[in-house]
Order: sequence, then structure tokens, then C-alpha cells
Amino acid sequence: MNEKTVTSEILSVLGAMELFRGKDRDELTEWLGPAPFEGGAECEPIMIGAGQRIIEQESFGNSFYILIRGTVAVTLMPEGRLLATLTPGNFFGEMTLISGLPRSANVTAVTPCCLIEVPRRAFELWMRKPGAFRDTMDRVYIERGLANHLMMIPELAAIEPQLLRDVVKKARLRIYSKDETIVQEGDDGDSLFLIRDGYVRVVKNMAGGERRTVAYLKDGAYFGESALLRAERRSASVFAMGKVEVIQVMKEDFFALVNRNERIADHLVRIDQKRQEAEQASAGSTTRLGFVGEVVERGLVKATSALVIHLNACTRCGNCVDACAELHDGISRLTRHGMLFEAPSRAPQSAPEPFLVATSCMHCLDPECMIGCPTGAITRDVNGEVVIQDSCIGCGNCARRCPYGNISMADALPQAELEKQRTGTPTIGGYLKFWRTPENEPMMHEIEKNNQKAVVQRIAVKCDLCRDYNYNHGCVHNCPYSAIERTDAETFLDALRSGQ
Amino acid sequence: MKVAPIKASRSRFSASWMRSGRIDYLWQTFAVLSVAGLSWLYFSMYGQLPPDRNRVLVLAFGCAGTILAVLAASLSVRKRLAYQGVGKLSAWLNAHIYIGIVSAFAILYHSGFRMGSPVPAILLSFYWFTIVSGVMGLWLSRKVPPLLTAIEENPAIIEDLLSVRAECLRGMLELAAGGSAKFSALVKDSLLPQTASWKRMGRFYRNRTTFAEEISAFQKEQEWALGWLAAPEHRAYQRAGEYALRVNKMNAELLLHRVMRGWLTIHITTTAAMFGFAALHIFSVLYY
Ligand code: HEM
Ligand code: SF4
Repeated sequence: MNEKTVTSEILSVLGAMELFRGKDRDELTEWLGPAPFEGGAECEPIMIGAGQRIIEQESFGNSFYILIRGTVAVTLMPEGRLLATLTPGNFFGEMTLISGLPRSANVTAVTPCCLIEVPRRAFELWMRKPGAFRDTMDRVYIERGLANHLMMIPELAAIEPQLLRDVVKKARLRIYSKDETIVQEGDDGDSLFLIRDGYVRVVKNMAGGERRTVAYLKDGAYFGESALLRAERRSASVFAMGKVEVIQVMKEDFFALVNRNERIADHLVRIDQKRQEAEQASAGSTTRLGFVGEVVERGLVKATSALVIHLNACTRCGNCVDACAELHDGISRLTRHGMLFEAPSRAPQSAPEPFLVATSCMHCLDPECMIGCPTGAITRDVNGEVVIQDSCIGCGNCARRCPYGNISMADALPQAELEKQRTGTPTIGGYLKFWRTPENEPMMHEIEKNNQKAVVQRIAVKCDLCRDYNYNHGCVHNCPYSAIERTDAETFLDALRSGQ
Repeated sequence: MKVAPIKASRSRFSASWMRSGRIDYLWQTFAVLSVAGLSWLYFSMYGQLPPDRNRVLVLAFGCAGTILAVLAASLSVRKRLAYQGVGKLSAWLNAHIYIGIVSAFAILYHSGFRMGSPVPAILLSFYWFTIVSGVMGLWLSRKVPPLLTAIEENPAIIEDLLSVRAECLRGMLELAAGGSAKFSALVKDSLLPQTASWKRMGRFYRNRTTFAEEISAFQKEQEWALGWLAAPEHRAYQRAGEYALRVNKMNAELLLHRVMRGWLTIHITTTAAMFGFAALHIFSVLYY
């Protein structure tokens, strides 16, 4: 936005907001000003007609919105429950930008609206500056995050809003890093935890000194309620499996909630019983939990679209890689290396099924690669795919951040050069050379040929799910043996559990 | 939170691959009915009809076989030229196999179980080579992947295998060059041949042993050589031995990769030759 588009109406609405407390008109104009990098996304005023959807529940997005004029309704699907009506000076859309999780509700214009759409990059810059914006956002993030979580639980739908607001106000947001202890077995239970983002491992001390992982919990789940309900000490330890955000509700607030509503109490007791039963059942067998654990530990569980190759079906023909390169300027966005897994077989005597999660973007739920891109070139599309826009300047931040090496840096070469770099089909003579030893020809030229293939680092490239081809994934579409599939973590684990 | 899979993309995972689906059954039904129909025509009609009608029937078998063979070969167009073509390549391969099988029966009845004069004889030889290589390839595509999975430490592409193999050989030769004359001679005479030993490769295939298991067996085998060397060179010799065994194992993998590429080369070459001779055959039938 520039000085002409930043109208006095916008300035007066922003000026009255808690978020921008203490900012004068010049500072506000500067905040809304042009993007710091050429080609980067910048804040835009947008007009929305009555009835138009601004945010779709479960979609992903790259924007945060400030309402300048009009009214919007926040509703929860599937039943369309009205959660809030927002008026000028309110904002929404920050949860997805902070947590990386999909949008948790629909937002629809009730009357014609004027909004400011703030792109992720600008939002991240604002969040870096200490002051009212960051403080308010942190508070709102907890309040809305907790409220959203509580509202997902059907039993809480009927709770008095004031009580919920009180609980929300007193709750604390806690952030843990990998392997940090959230709860220690044997400690006094003083609170209940709701996982906002990430995975935790629940570990129990068994007879004989064995420490066994009894469960993995992920966002949406809660723990610590047993100790409160039974007035016992903590029966298991809970560890963060990566960066984990939890909302801590203290004992007194928890009981205030439970005592006021019998349905919540019943619900929590039922969940607690189920968990106890599951723990007892898992005490006898570790295999399935072991595999689920592996899937969690190695990060596959964050995948919304992982590329999985069934190794016992894959003939290593390379057609998937060729197809990918053919559809993406000669540079394949997948390599057939990666994480090896052995899925337990359902039939008791049969061998486990080996498969490979290939090196290709998994479009994680909380993409670490998106943090800190200077131009905001790496974005998440509403459909969920993480894509790199043309404004990439090749700094390599995303490639360094991706924990799985799924983003590579490639030279933006002209087509003719790219063609040369592609691995050609070997000649018939090539087939006959498998026994070659150093005497009959050292293989140095092969090494050199290989080294030549290393390309100058210029732009980041990664899988875009073939969005330009109507999501018809080239790799999957072109495997002759049905050996390769794209799957999200839920489908994947469900299929293995049911042995489909 | 239950996260919706990326909306526009198809998210699926089948724990047991290679399951026959509805489409497979359709193709299987097509193949069985077609082969039954063709066989009925041949065995109950052929020979019972007047000679000119018989000739028409034989020609019809030929035409059907040729059209089906052309249809089968269109897989190549989809595979190499139409990466976003209609239908998954696996569905095309399925169709290819069943159409190929039906075409084989049509051609068999067209030939009347005879080879005939040189052009049809050569044509038929190429045709049967194509069919046999196709069946072989299909068999290999089921058998080789599990074998590869068993012996690979990590799946690798052929280019990587070549360069890692070269690195291992280089490592071994560097050790040899830096050692005593006896050491170099031992590496050359005793370890180098192991890199391309068929017997050893066969062991990987047969026993599906892991590299770690093989290496300890290998080092036991090579213990005699240590007696020839001074103590400080023992460890270097063992390392050279590890390199040799690794090269051998990679040769075992490479061989499988090349078998998988090799059969397809044969299948495609015989297809091309077959179509060449088919053109000649059709031309000679029409004009002579
Ligand atoms: C009329 C008979 C046939 C013709 C003309 C024919 C032709 C071809 C051609 C041209 C290809 C190469 C595709 C490419 O890589 O460009 C191919 C692939 C293949 N054919 Fe056939 N074929 C025939 C019959 C069969 C039969 C009967 C089978 C099996 C029972 C078979 C199995 C295969 C398989 C497995 C592939 C490999 C596909 C791949 O790995 O990409 N073919 N065929
Ligand atoms: S196309 Fe299919 S069979 Fe070929 S390498 Fe890729 S996954 Fe394996």
C-alpha cells in the first residue's frame, strides 16, 4: 500500500486498535507500506461483497485480515454454528500464520466489507518488532486457540461463554522444544494440558525398570486430566517430540469448568477410561505402537502429502523421476532416496512391507521451510500445497530449514542446458558393463560426469504437487507398476492399521 | 485435529500393493472372452468353411492380431510422449498386457501353427520374441524388486551406484598403492577378482544376506592373507576387503538394474523389428 491507498478511514480504524497502540499516522503508513523486496507480497485493501466467503475452514492461507468497514461472521462447520460476529477494528486469520495449521473456521462477509489483507511476510515482520502488536497477538493467540480447541469438543458447545472466557483468560501457552519434559511421572498433578501444535510421547515406567512409550498424542488431544480427576500423582511422563505448543489449564480453573457442567465431567471420565484401556492393551504388544512411533519420530506424521514408494513393487525404472523432470523444466523434484520404513504386516507370518518415503516435499502441516523467507516467496496455497513463487531470490533459507532435505537449489538454466543435464537412457553397451573392473577401464570419467551434474545454486525447487497439471501428480500418474503413491499421514496410518 | 488431505490432490495408500481391482477384472474378462471367442472360431469354423471363407477368416485373425499389436505398442507413446496423458500408466500397462495376450492368440491362429516362407517366419520369430520377452519382463517385474530390496542397504539409482562403486574401487586401489609390495600384490590378486565374482554375487541373491553378515564371513575367508602381511597392514587389508565386497554387492545390484532395463530393450527392439517385418509381410500379401 502507498500513501494514496492508506486512507484516513483506514488510519482512524487502525489507530483505535489495541494492536497498533502508540503508533502515529506516519508509523502506520510505513507499516502498511510497500514490501521490503521487489516482487514480495504487500498489504492490500480489499472489498468483499455481502455473503462472500473470506476464509474457508480447513483451507490454508497466507494472509491475516483487519476489518476496516462492514461485518463478518465466524462460523464452524459442519453445522454452521456462529462463533462470533466481527465489526470494524477486529482482525482474523492470524492463527494459521502463527501455527501453520489449517483455518479453524469459516469467515463470511455479512455486509459489504473493506479489509486490509496482510501477507505472511509482512505479518512475520510485524511480529518480530517488540510492542503492542506482538503482545496482543500472543494473548489473542492463546485465547482464540484455546477457545477453538474447547469448542471442537461437542460436550463444551453448550457451555456458558463467560465461563469459557474466564478459563481462557487464565490459561497459559507453553512452548517446548524437542525432548523437553512437559510432565514428569510421579509429580503432583496441578494442571491439564491441551496440545495446540505438535506431537508428544507418553512414557511409563513399567515393572522391571523398563520405560515404555504407551502413546503418541498430537494437536487436539489433551493429557494430565487423569491425575486431576483421580487426585493422583502423574501416572506417566510426557515429552515433546519437536516444537510443541500446549495450553495449560490450572487445576482450579479445570474444576470450575468441570463442576459447572456434568457433561464435560462425563466426557473426560470416558476419555480417561478409554486411555487406560488402550494403555493396558498396548502393554502386551509393542509392534504397532512401535511403527506408529517411528512414523511420528521421523516426522512423516506431519505429512499432508508424502510420496511413498512400495519397494517390493518398484522396479527402479525411474519413470517417476523422468516424468517429474519432464513436467518441471527438466529438474526432477523427487529423488528416490529417503526414509526407509518397514510396515508391520497384518498376516501373522508374513514379512513386513518395506517402503521408502522419497525425498520430495511432504507439504507438512507446519512447514518449517516457510519461516523466514526474506521475500515471502515460499507460500502455502489455500489447497495446502507449499509452493515457491517466482519472487525466490535463491538465498537457500527454505532448503536449509527443511528437516528432510526436500528442497533443493538449482540453477535457473535455459531449457537447452537443462536438457543436457538430464540423465540419458544408457546405450545397449551400457547394459553390458556391470562387471567393469579398474583394469579394463577406471571409472573416473563416470565420477567426473557425475560431478559435472552438480549445478550452480540459484533458485529453490520443490514438489508443487503438479498444481499446473490439475494436481495430476506426474510421478504417480507415470509409474507403470502402481508402486508409488501420495498420501497424508492419517490415510497412511489408517491403511496400515486396517491392513488394506 | 483431523486434517483434511490436500483437497485437490488424491491421497491414498494401499498397504498391499498389486491388488487386483475392478478394472483388472474387466481386462481379465475381456482377455478370457476374446481368447475363447478366437479359439472357438479357429477350432470349430476354420476348415469347415469353403476355402474363400477360410481365407477371410485367416485374414480376419491377422487383421485383429495386427490392430491389437498396434494398440499394445501405443503404450510406448503414452509412456514417452504423453506424461500427462489420459489414464495412469499402470492402467495402460494392464491394458497392454491383456491386449498383447489376445493379439498373440489372434496371430497364432492367423499363422495356423506354421512358420511358412522366410518373411512370415522371421516376422513370427520376432513376434514370439516380443511376447515371450513381455511375459519374462512381467515375471521379472514381480521377482526382481523384492530381491533388490533385500540386498540394497538403501535404494539407489543406477547413476549413484556407478559413482559409489567407482569411489569404493578408488578407495581400494589407493590403499593398495600406499601399502607394501606384498600388500599391493595381495589386493590385486586376491581382492580385485572378488569385486566381480559371480559366485559371491549369487550368494547375495540366494541367501539375501545383509552386507554386515557377508563382511564377517568374507573376513574369515581372507584370514590366511593376514599371515603374509606385517601386523600394521592388517587393518588396511580388512578395509580393502570391505571395499571389494561392497563393489561386489553393488555389482549384484547393478546387474539386477540392468536386467530390468535389458529385458525392456529386447522387448522394444523385437517390437520394432516385428513391425518392420509386418509391414513387409502385409505389402507382399497385398501386391504379390
Ligand atoms: C503384441 C504384442 C506386444 C507388443 C507390440 C508390445 C510392445 C511393447 C512396447 C513397445 C513396450 C515399450 C514401452 C516403452 O518403454 O516405450 C512394451 C512394454 C512392456 N510390455 Fe509389451 N508388447 C507386447 C506384448 C506384451 C505382453 C504379452 C506382455 C506381458 C505379458 C508385455 C509386457 C510388457 C511390459 C511389462 C512392459 C514394460 C512397461 C514398462 O516397464 O514401462 N508386452 N511392450
Ligand atoms: S516409476 Fe514406479 S516402478 Fe518406476 S522407479 Fe518410480 S516408483 Fe519405481
